[in-house]
Amino acid sequence: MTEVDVFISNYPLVDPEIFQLWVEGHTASEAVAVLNDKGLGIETGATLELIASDVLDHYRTYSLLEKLLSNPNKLQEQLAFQIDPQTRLWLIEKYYEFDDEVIRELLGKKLSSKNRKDLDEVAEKTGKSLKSCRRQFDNVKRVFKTVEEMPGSIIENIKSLFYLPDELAKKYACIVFLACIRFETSKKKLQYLSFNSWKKCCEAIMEQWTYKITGPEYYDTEMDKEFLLELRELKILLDREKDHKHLVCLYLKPKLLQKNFIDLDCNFRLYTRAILTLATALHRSRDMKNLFIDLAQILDYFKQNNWSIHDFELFLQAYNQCAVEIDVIRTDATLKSSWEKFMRVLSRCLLVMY
Amino acid sequence: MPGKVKVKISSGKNLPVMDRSSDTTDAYVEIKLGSTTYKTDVCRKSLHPQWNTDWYRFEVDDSELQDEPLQIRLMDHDTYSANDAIGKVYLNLNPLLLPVDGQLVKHGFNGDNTTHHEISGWIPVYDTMHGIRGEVNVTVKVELFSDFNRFRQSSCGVQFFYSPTVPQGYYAKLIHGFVEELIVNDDPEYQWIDKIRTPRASNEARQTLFFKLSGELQRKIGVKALNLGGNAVIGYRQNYDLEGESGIVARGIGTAVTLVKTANVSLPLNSVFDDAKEELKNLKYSQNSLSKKMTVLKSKLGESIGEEIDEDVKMSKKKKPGESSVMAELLARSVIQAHNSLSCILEVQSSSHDENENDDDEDTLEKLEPIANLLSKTVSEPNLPSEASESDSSSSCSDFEYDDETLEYTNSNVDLETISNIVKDVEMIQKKNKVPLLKQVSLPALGPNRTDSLDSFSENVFKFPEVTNKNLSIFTTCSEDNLLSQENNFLSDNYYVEDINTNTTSDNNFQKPNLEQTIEQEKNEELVHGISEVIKEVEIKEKGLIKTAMQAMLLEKVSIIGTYTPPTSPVYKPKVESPDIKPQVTAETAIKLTDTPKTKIAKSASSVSFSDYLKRNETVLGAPFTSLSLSSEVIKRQKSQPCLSDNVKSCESSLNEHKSRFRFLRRNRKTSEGDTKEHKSIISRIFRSRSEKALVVEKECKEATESKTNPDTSLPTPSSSVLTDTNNTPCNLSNNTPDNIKIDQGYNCSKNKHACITPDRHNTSASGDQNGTRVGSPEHHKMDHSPARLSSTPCIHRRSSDSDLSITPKGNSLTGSDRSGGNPSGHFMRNNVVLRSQIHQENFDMLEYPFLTMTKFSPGFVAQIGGVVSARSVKKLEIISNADEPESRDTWWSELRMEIRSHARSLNCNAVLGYSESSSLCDDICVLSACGTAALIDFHCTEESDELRQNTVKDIMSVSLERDRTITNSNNKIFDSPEHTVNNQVISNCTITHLPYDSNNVPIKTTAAKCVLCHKGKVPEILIATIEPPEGIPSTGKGCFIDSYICRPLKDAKGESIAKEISDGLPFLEYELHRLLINKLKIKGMNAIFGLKFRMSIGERMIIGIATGTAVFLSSLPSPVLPTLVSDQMTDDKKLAHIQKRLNDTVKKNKEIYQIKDDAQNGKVLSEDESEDEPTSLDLSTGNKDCCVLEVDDPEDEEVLRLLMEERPPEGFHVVNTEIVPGLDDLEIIKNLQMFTQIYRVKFHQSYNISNHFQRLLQSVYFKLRRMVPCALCNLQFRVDLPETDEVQLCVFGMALGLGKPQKKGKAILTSKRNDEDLIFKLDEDPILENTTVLNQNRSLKYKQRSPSKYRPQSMKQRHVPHRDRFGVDITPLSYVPGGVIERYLGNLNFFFIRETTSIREEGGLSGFIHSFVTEVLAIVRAHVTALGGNAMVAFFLTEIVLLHNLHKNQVSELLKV
Repeated sequence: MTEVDVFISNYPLVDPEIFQLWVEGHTASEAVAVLNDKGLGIETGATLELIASDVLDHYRTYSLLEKLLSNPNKLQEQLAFQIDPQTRLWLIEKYYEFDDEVIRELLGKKLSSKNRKDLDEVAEKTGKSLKSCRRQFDNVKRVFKTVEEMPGSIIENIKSLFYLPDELAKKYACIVFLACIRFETSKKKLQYLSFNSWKKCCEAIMEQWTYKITGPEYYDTEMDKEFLLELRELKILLDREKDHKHLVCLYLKPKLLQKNFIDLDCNFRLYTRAILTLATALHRSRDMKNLFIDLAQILDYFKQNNWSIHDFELFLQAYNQCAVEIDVIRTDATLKSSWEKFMRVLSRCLLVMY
Repeated sequence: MPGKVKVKISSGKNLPVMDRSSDTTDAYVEIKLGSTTYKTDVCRKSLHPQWNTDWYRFEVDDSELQDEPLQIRLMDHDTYSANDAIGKVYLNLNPLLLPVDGQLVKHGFNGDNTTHHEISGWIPVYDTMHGIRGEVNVTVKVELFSDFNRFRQSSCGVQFFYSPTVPQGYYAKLIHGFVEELIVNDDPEYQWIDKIRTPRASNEARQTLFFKLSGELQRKIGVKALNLGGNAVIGYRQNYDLEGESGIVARGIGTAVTLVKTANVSLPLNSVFDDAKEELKNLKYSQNSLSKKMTVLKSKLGESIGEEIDEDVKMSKKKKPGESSVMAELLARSVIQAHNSLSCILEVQSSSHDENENDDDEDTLEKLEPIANLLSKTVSEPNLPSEASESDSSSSCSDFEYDDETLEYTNSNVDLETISNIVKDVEMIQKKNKVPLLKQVSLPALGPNRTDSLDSFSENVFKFPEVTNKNLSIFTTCSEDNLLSQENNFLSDNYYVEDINTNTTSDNNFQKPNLEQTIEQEKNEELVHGISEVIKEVEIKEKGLIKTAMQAMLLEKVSIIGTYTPPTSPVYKPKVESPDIKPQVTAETAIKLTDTPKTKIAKSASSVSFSDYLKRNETVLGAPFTSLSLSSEVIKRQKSQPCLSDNVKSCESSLNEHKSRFRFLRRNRKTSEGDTKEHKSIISRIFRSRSEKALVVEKECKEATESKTNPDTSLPTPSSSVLTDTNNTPCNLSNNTPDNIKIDQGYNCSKNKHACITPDRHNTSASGDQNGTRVGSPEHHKMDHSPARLSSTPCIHRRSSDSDLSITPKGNSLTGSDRSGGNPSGHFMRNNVVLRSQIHQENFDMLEYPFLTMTKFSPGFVAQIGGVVSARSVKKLEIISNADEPESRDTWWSELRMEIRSHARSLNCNAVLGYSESSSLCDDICVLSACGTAALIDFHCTEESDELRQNTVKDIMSVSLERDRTITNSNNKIFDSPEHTVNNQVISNCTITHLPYDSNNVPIKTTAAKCVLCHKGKVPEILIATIEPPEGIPSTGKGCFIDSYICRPLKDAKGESIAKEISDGLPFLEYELHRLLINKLKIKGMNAIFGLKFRMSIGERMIIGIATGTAVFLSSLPSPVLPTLVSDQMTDDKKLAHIQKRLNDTVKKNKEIYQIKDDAQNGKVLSEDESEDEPTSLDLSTGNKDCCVLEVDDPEDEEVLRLLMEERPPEGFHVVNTEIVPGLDDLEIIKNLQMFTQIYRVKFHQSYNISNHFQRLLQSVYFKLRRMVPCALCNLQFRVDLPETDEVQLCVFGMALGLGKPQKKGKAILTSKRNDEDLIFKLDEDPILENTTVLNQNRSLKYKQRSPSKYRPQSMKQRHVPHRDRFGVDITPLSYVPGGVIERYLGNLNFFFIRETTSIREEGGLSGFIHSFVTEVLAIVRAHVTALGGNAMVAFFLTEIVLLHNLHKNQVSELLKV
């Protein structure tokens, strides 16, 4: 019956609740229902109709805002909406917030329009609304596209371009990083990993393996090539496998469970080979992409043998330290640092994944 | 006055992609003004083009400038196809044509004329098809060449204010009257060419046309205003009737006024400042010589007088660079004099104002002189030096004074920089002072002094507001407390002065062990003690008569202070103290007594008149002050009467002594003698004589230039000089000064009795001679009574009218001092200025339509409100054959206006206020309606006094008694004819509610009741007006929004028949509306409606009328009778009783909610002529009765009843449609929250229950603003349109204002406040400018202490609970920015937007479309405002929203202003 019902104010009203609902991709009628259930109607004595009109107003404002939200830069300088800075930031933050589940689904997928169409599967899987998924997809894509080719710190870039808060910027940085290296993330083996684990792994890698010097020609999203090449030298450890094993066993004997120790004793060769092959192969981008699969492979060995996480951690420590004690590495400073760099990330990732 | 327009296009941004293939745009710009077009280069392949063009120059005539908008069109260059338009920017150049306020004046003293008025900034590019498409950065400047062609068609410089009140910072000197204009043009939408051109082209043509029409309209109205002698148009409204095929009719109405910027008055002050400084220097340099001269003069008495006169003349000449400057000078002088006296007498006391210390020093020096001279001693001699020194110091003092003020104000703003500046200034001045000082006496103590002063500076200044606040609050407290509290204040003053006192005392001692001074000092201290004692137990008795007299004086002065603005009060306080300290000299008391006696005598002699005065005072001053004045009154009476005889005697004796001395003195004495005689006989005579005296004064002035100055000098002196005989010279000085002070005060604080009496004295003394000879005439005696009355009333009226305006004190003081300056013509001129917002009655009467479109007036302007008058007519449109002569439309409106006028006349009113016109169109039927409030404008008073003076000037030589008499008679007639007016007006301001007409003589049946407050005047049972509630109207409780809607179906007819039907139906509709409104009002328990707005709209099937208003309970009106239910169906008794009960409950509840304290008596006072309570006496013929009785005949009525009872805005909302919320005691508006627009369009079905929709609309507004509670919704405006047969479109505009508990939170808030303004105004305003605004605020504050004040001073502000710094552009439909002060009016803006779309689906449906459209419009408006350098827009409104759905087309035209 109502043809037009518009409420416009000089300073756009932003209702956090309704905005949240909008961001979550609820339709207006859903939002009205939610609000009503929350007792808004009873509190204020407003009829459903009123709430609906209010919600619709808000939705309209937001949909007008959406264009601007997609480009926060514009939002800062636009004239159409007089929003105070705090609210502005809040809006952006809310808009760019995402659900880990959804993002997990998006990881490893090409951010193409084809995949965008398939978002309904994601929506189904995660139980989030399609709209919300789309928004998240678009956000990720947008952030990725803008930041991808940009020199300088990825986090800083995101922060300055999208006016996002620290935490959120970090998350986006991880996503972008994952997408840049194109790590294999969607294999079944890796399916169990949550976004949070991914984020931790990524942070470790980004911290250790990427170029530290930030300059115009260095990208935050690129691996430290020299370091990866250096890793090839770790082959030497394969030759010294016996020494290494000896030291590890010596070190771990009092600490490990008997069963695990025996397992270690038997399979040390297998383990060390897996780890070292990974290390030596990382300079190949294909292998780098499969890093996590390889890691999962390694983990499988341990899992099969029922290692507890504690023991596993001990092993990694020992493995790391003992290698350093071997003279080849001990004497070669660069090799030593590479090894440590490698192992720090590896142990971190493995532990997270375990 | 041709003008040169310079345009520069620097860059664009966020342009749309016009070239699909490359995703860029090759943009260039076309700039068009009039017929000239320029193009910029093409900026290839960029969405953010940089053109950085040179200045494009247009040389156009100014009329063209006014008519034509500057069109800036962004284009996309295409190599092969035609270039595409991106969008357009229309720049209204009118704001640039306005004089930059203060600019001219600034030139003189700042020397910076770089601040050219310009538009500069990012402005959204708007396209009628796509909305905003990017922004363009434009800078536009206009240079005007002056041209004084009398036949010009342009009206540059006429300011237009959409706000229906006198804008802040201005005051209306003259209200000239109604201006209107009407232009007809073809609507491009309906031209044949439209059939072949693109929608965009036609839209743009239309938009351009609207711009042009608006410009032309405005220009023409401006010309009319200029012809009337005005310089601005207030309450300007533009309306467009889109008559379809027959074209567009653009109408504009407004009120032409002569606005004077209050700042303008003050600005010259500044310049005068400088002048004064220079003068000061000169004076300083010449001081020595002067003093020498003086001594010489002293030896030669007669000569000296002449010389002095010369001096004076010089001074006065110097001080006459311009009127304003003179005014400023005079002001300064008056203030100075006060200061002077202060400093001279109090010395230290002044330290409250540290500068005073300097003054002190100077003064001491000066004093020393006279004292030294005294040794040689001639009685009259001291006069001269004192005078001279006075004048000297006056200039210096003026500097100080102003510095002081500025300091205070700036301080209050917590602007450190300015403070420092001022401090520097002060230092400078101090140095200057120092120079002479050093010459004369080396002052070792000066340095410390100064530092002290500086230190205490800030402290004091900070303290002051508080103190003043205290004062104010104290004033409100009961009368007895007054004494004590005031003394307290003094004490406190004294206390923190004391420290410095000691310093200064030492100083003084250093300088000269002057006995007198030390004595003074001692006295000072003594006084402090004494006051403290007084506090403990009023020890008036101890000190005896003197003290009592002093006390009385004190009280008077205090009351004066009270009435005066708080910030300035400190200045006056010292004055108040001065009398205190003076008493050391016994003669002093006599002086005071002489001053007071006159008032007292007046009182005693004619206690009647006096009481009248008092009452008037009360009314004028408002409740808080009444108690005070009363108390002072009582005290005075008690004490004065014993003193009286003494005083008189002393006066006489002294007079006798002086007889031989001076001619004027003689005169003086005579007059005083005559006075005393008269006192004995009749007081009224004084008044009589006063008027004559004025004549005499002028006459004198003309006759002898010497005498010109003579009265000046003599006037203050006479009484004092009389006393000087008995006393020594210091007292003479003091005498002079107190007198002066008093006079000044009297003028300044025109509210006090002094205002009336001091001038009297003044004049009497001056003109004594002539009087003496002439007064004797028998005519005089005969006439005694009437003139007295007459003269008293004008004064009062003036007072009341003055009361709210900052300018008045100045003006008054000007007159006062000016008079003393003795320049008759100037005096007359000044008077003109003083009489504020006056209307020349003759002019006004001659005006065709005595209409004012303003809705808000200064108190006292409106004497009585008659009621709402309205007229409507139904017309059938015909195609206008000749667009140049829109005769038919003109005649339609003039018919309406005539009708309104005759209505108003029949109500015995002389003006229609809050006049508005509207029209509604449907097909070829047009309903025109005009509406206003008939009221009696109170221009007699101002007029009268003016006339009197005029006459006096004209007929100086001839005895103007007869003339006078006739005038008075006529005046009396004027006063008497409206029943009771004279009496009532004098008695209380409830008169405004009194009926201006005799209830028997009016063709309308009304019930009148006795006024509850005064029991004299008759008041209507219900008062309805279209204006804002006048300030000071006696109301209780809160106001609330009230509305009624009627919808009537129309038959399906065409042409004449439908027109007939509509016109037949209109009265019924109106009646229904009225009835509903009244009923609602009753249920709300209120008895008056303000801000009433009617709106009619016709559609194809129905006609809708809405009436909205703000209900208020006026305490002077009888409380409404409880509605009673009547039913014909007796079966329903039970139900009926039930409903009745519910009804009563709601009424009760409403009363509670709106805090109406309803005394039971109110009801009883109701006139007995009809017993409304009886349900049986249902008689529809009497208009008012059925308003109290609700008929419940059928379920429908029941429903109506239910409607009447429900709908109360939720908690925390205060809803009104006026600009301020009446009766908000506990809360005040502190923040501009939101301007909102709600557009609501709904299918409308057969039931035609429109109120449901309105309810729904309001509720949704409440609901949407729920997070802003507590807030006030102000200025709600409704608009109804019937765009389709079955659709109704409602629009609400309004303003949500944040409310908060009033808290006195001095500085913390000031800073934030300050920041706001700094944002935009760059601090280029002069401190003085600010001064006046603050002054303004404070002045008004007093009156609106409880109501949300428009001029809410910064000192009482608290941000709204959700703390948010102000940013962006505030847009408000109100005429003021709550929580802000309007620093500058930049000009008015009109916008017209047409928006069309073919993709309504994608834009989120119709709602989404409108939403984005209105948002964009607001954005554009804001951008324009920002580009003009403003940060707020007031009086914003959408005039028209035309929405054609089926065409996917939508049009809005808007008018708005900054």
